[in-house]
Amino acid sequence: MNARNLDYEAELRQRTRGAARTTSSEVLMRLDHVSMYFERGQSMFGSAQKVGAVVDVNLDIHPGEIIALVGESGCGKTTLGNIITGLQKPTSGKLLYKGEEVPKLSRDKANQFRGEVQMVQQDSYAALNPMRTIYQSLSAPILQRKIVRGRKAAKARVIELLQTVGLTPPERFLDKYPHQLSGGQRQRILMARAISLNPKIIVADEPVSMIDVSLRISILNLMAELNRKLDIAIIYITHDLATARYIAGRGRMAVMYLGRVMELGGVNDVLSQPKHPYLQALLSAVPTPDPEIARAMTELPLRSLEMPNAAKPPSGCRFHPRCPMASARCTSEEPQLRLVGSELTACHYAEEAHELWQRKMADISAIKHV
Amino acid sequence: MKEGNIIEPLVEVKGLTIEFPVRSGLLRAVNEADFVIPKGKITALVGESGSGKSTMASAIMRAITVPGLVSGGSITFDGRDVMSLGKKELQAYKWEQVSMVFQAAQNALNPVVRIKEQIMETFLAHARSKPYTEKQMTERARNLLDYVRLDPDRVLNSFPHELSGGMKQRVMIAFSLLLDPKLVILDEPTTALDVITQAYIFDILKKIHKEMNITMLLLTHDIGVVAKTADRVGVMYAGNVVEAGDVFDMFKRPKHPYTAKLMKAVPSLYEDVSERKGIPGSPPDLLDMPPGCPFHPRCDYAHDKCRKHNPIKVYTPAGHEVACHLYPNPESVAEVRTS
Repeated sequence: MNARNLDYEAELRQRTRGAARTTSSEVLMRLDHVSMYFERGQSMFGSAQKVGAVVDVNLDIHPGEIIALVGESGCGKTTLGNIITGLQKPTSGKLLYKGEEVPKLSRDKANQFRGEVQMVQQDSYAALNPMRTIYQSLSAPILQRKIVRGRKAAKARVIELLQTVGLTPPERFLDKYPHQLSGGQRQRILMARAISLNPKIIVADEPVSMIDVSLRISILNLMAELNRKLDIAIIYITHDLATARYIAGRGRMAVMYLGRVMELGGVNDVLSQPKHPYLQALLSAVPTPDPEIARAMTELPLRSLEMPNAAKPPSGCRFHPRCPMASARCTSEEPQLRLVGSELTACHYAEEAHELWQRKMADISAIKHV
Repeated sequence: MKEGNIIEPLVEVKGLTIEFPVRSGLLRAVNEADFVIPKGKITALVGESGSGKSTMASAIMRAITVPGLVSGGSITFDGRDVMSLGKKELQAYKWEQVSMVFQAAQNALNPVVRIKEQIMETFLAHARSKPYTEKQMTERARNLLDYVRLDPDRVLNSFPHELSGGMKQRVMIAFSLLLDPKLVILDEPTTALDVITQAYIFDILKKIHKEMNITMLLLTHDIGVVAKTADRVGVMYAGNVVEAGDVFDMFKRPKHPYTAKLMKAVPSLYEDVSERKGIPGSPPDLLDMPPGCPFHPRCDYAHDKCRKHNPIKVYTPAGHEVACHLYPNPESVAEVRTS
């Protein structure tokens, strides 16, 4: 454990230096106090309920970085992804792309925005037109946007794209229909389609959750490669902390709960030094592929399993009804993100929670090394 | 294997072959598979989709339906031949002996019938050896719902849509225990659920296993879940169980190259990321199987023999079994399956 602490300190020093560097670099996209409220249950009697899917999120996206948005279903990660791609307009707050507000972009710039911010969907079968061949699906956007002119050039470009995403020999795929490909291959087609318009940002919403375990890593590797070679920023949306760690190893991670960002920082810091009790519970719940560690993590540090109703979020801290550390303060005062160690955490008791976690991890590593 | 080098089998599957006629030929979903489910343990069966794990579990339930056909092999449950059960015996066998928790609980429950009535229906259809009065049935249902940490008053009178995914899955677990079965088959019981709910459900399952001494067969592709819950692991590939053994052994010293690769293919929260690697290639087309060992096109150790002959499984005295040409060693084979 001592060695680990030293490692951590060294890393911390390095990271604080690194942080200074990233903030000085340009910001590609900025989310400024973005919130998204949905109205539901509007009836003749009583007024509509407001459901906060995303509440007051601030995030800067830098060119070429990987950000993992993680959380359970219903935490608002997909809605946030939709806001970033411009598919949904936030009910309050601003979305700035290259310094300009997205809804106010001129026609040309809006067009450019739509090309430069792309999406990779979860269900690759639903995302491709079943009546079109792969060539048709991939050539349409580049022809429409005049990235290439003429059929010959389009074909050459499609072949090149297929090669980039590791589908070889590319000629074999051109005339296939989506149903003739495996899930992993279709996911690669979606990647090819996303990069075909030379994007700056790709939002990937659970891109590997429907793919077999043995093939997941190769898709994640492909995404990491696209990020590195083409300098595309990737927003990786997932509920799977382990794959987020895998792909965004050097990037950042935002952990969401009921629409709010609870913890934000470098992926390794967030996962190895979790401060927020919610994140700690989430980490404890992930089954580790090691029987000894997995069995040591028995009880969940949670008071209640039930997720509160998003339409009536608890007062104060949204997590307090489930939090083992909650006090009276947590029921009245909503914690804001603040810097604890090297990450931002929205918890009044982050320091104490962190210390408890470290003790727990020390116990577990002791089991491992007996 | 700390305790019990001798495995007392509850279920023994031998040479099981299950075929489905499809337009382009005969698809062998399970291909001469041998497998043992030891009594009183949690056995996990892992494999990629299409490896045949669900089909094999269905066969144990005697739930393979036309056009599927069990074309060879035998299944023995607690000494009885499952394949030769008559209609009446089968009704009692299902749910009184073996029950199943299906993958998507939301689809396994009837959406227009209250939970209470669905429970009664199960009693009436399957409780053959011992008739229950209505009062006893309700009592048993309430106890079990309480056991899976649900509020019986609320749940019994609910329709499925009034319950969350995790609650529905727990209702399914209570369902599976209604008639006190010897074996519960869990087919991907938590795939559609969040990790916290998943962890909670596995807590409940482990408690049930311990306190009621129920043998469990867990079908999953989640290696982490296996590490956390199982006592014994079987790995399926292309319709065959290619390796099986104690969970600690399997993770520490996997023998079959496929098992080794599968363990390395899952990203972990703790280990070095750079050690993780996907498995090259893709699972074989069951209609166009490669000759010899079905794994050889993706295997780093493949040699001539692998391309020609399918390896024969060897059994170690410690209860480990593996089918790979790297382990031809007949000396280490001991008869652990028939004690």
